[in-house]
Amino acid sequence: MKNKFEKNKIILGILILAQMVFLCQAAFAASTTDPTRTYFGARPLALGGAFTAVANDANAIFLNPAGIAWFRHPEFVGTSRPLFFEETLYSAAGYASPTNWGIFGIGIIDAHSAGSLPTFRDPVSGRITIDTSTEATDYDNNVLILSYGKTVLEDLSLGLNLKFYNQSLSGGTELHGTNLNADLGLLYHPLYIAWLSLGLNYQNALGGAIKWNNAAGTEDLLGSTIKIGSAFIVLGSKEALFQMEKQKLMLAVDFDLINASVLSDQSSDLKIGLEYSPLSISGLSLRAGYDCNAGVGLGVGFEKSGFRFDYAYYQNSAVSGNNPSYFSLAYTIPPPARKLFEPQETSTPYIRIDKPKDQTITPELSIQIKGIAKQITQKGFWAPSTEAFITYEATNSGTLEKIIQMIPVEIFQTISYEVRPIENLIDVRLNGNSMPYNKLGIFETMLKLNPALNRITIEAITTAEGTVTKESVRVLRYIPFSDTSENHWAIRSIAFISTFKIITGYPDDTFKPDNPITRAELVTLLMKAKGGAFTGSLEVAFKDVKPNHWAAPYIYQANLKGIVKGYPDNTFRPTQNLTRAEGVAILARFAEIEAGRDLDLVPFPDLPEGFWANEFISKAKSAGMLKYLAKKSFDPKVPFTRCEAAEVLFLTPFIQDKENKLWETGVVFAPTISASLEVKP
Amino acid sequence: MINQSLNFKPIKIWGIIIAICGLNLCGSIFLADICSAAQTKPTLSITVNGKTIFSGDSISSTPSIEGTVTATATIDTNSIKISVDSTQEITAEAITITPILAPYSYSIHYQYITALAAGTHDLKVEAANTLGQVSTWDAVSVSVAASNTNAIQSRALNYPNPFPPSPTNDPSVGGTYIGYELSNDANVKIMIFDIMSTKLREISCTAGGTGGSAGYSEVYFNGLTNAGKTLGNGIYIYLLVIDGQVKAKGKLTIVQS
Repeated sequence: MKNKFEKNKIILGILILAQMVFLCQAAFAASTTDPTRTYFGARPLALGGAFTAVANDANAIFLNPAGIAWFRHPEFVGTSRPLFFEETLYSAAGYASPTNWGIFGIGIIDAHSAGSLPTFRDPVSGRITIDTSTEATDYDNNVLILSYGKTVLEDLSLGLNLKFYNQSLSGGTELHGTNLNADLGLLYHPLYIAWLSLGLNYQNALGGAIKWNNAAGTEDLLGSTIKIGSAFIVLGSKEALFQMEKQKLMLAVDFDLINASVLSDQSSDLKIGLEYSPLSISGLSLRAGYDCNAGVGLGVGFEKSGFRFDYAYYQNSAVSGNNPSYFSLAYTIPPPARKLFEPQETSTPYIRIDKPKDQTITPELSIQIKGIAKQITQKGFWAPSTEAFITYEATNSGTLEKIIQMIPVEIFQTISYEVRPIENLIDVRLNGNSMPYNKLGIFETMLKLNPALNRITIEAITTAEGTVTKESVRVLRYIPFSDTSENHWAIRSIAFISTFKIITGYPDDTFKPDNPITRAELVTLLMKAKGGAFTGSLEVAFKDVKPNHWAAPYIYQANLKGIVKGYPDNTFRPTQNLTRAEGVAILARFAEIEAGRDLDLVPFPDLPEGFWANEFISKAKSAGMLKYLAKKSFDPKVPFTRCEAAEVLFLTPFIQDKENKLWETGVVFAPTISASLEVKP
Repeated sequence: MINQSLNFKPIKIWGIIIAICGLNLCGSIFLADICSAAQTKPTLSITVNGKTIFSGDSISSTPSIEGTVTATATIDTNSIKISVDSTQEITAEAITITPILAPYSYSIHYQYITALAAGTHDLKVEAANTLGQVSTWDAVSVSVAASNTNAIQSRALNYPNPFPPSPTNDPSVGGTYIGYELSNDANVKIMIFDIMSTKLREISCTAGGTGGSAGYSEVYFNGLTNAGKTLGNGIYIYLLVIDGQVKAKGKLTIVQS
């Protein structure tokens, strides 16, 4: 809950900041070409530029720096080719690498166009003629990007780009201009919506302008763009919206809000991309995209051993005849071999089951299973050290001499901890069967429950090691009573007592929790709880409990064991409702609680000293059987209700032991009583 | 100076008398020759489709020949003729000749109805005065493109380059002229992009109109986008597009003053 609140605050804060700066920018000067606004990496290009919420490779440096926060290994991407009728030489390269302080990246985009010819008007013909006496003008427009990305919550990352703009005109004209700007990125993979990703990139958050070194100090505006993206895994094996084995289809949609200062006549842009991966052909991806302002993209990607080759066919809708082929190369650098002093990672996978909690009780027929499979990645390095090895040797004098040997060992010096998705996770299983999960390891499904105990085991399976971790929770499904809600204060006790068949309720499926319990009823259920074989014969001790009384065997057995006693007039008064003092006294005797040293003489303030039941009430209290009366008065004369009886009985060590056995072994306590007991008149 | 020129001596006076007698002897032809020496040949100022053309230029296959003939002597309007390759001669009867200041100045106009054959032609206009003095205007090797050929005949250039933008659309403040030569009348789009291929401006020129008629044309570009945003310092690329095809391209440089 706290995480969710923090996350909402972060997202809201960034959106408000973005909105304020965005609206404050005004187009009061000329605008300049921003080479980061249109990125020609082949994969994003084939997706029509819809990449803000995808951002899962090194192209993210240019399109959403928050994406690099999820990198596990260093990644590189690069492309270079002549652009736009070969009038511009375009190059872009990016590299991002995990460090102990987050993921850092560096990128550069350079656009160079040469040979703008100086001219003069021919005095004879009056026509425009090349001025060969003056050098042609070249134009270089490049941006150096320093990126930083970090996951701030399990499902949220933030990114920052510092951008150093550098423009120059050379040759016939000599001018130089610079600007420092920033991109702010956000990427959100909702923990429990595995098929959805949301992204935001506030490009050129500082607005800003290229400041030229001419005498007038000309400034050309760069302008901001707010890119809002979403990505949906439509088809896939586990995490997708629609499950389809061995195929993966991702839909990405970007919406750009373009500030008036940007050198574009558009105020917004919509981009849509599709990426399809037939998992039967390893490493192959097919792509298609559409940019409402620019054109159509098609593409293909091949990935093998960390290398990825991307091709995009991208046609600018404004004009035909341009070379539509774009290429990119990407490489994911594998982790280095383990060496002393070199930074290493050790990972400990774990499964956290958020729903249900262990030892949950529920009357529902099915239950939601929800949680996450993660790994704690411990960063550090192996360093040589020594460990003392102590032995004792007998000396000639007969004493023992302590011998300390220093043994060289390697110890892992931890630098930091980080929680990440489990590497190479290929399956998450619920009780041995595959269950839906997403790339972050988040799993969620519904499970049908059996009556009584259900053991729910989640396993994480990786390609390399099979099951790397498992976690179990236990759920008791009880048979509900129509008049006792799940929120009843004694529901846990009632659930167990009824599961153990000690109290079975009424034929109309009610429990009548607030009804008073009679002396005969309580004694009966206690004796049933004890179980065992009642054999032999008992003399009638109470004149109001005849041998044919339905509870006679239980009353006399209890009397024999000292659990109940009659009244001085040789009556038991079986139909008389119990008071709370009587009920607790009987249950305390039933529980056979030993008197401790610190037994309270007056266990509750409202009980008078010397009250006949104080000893039993104190014993019950000290055994934790009266938690429901904590900080309350005891009210000894109030009727002892059925739910109180269930609560106090459940908390007796005898039933607690049965509960523990149920959780541990799954065996449901089922007392059996022999019917051979005879009560003689 | 004047006093000196009026200071005649007797011998000089006799000389003049003898000279006048000599002139009388030579007759009127001699006198006329003396007078004609002060007259000039007609002056021809010719445009084709309203444009000044030079040898090697492109013209449409049905050019409109226009211009003026002026002279200090009487112009012989019957002598005015237009010829192509010295063979296809258009005589004065077919030419619309309108006096401006008769008989010394006339405007002429002839619209070719029958298309000239594709290829290069020598175009010539002649006019004479009543003294028989003949003037000729000619353009050698002007080319006529096939009717289905739309091409930019020469390299597209812009002047001035570099230039500052002119937000007020005032050429004296800034902006540039993009010059090119069309082989035929055509609908021309001038599209201006930044170096990242973002389209910024489109100027449409209709066939036969400014920037869309055969021959040399210049179109003014003020350095602003379609939406009126001013382009910053840098190089921009312009494309000349006819029938959806890029026929020529060039680069212009904006440097703000």
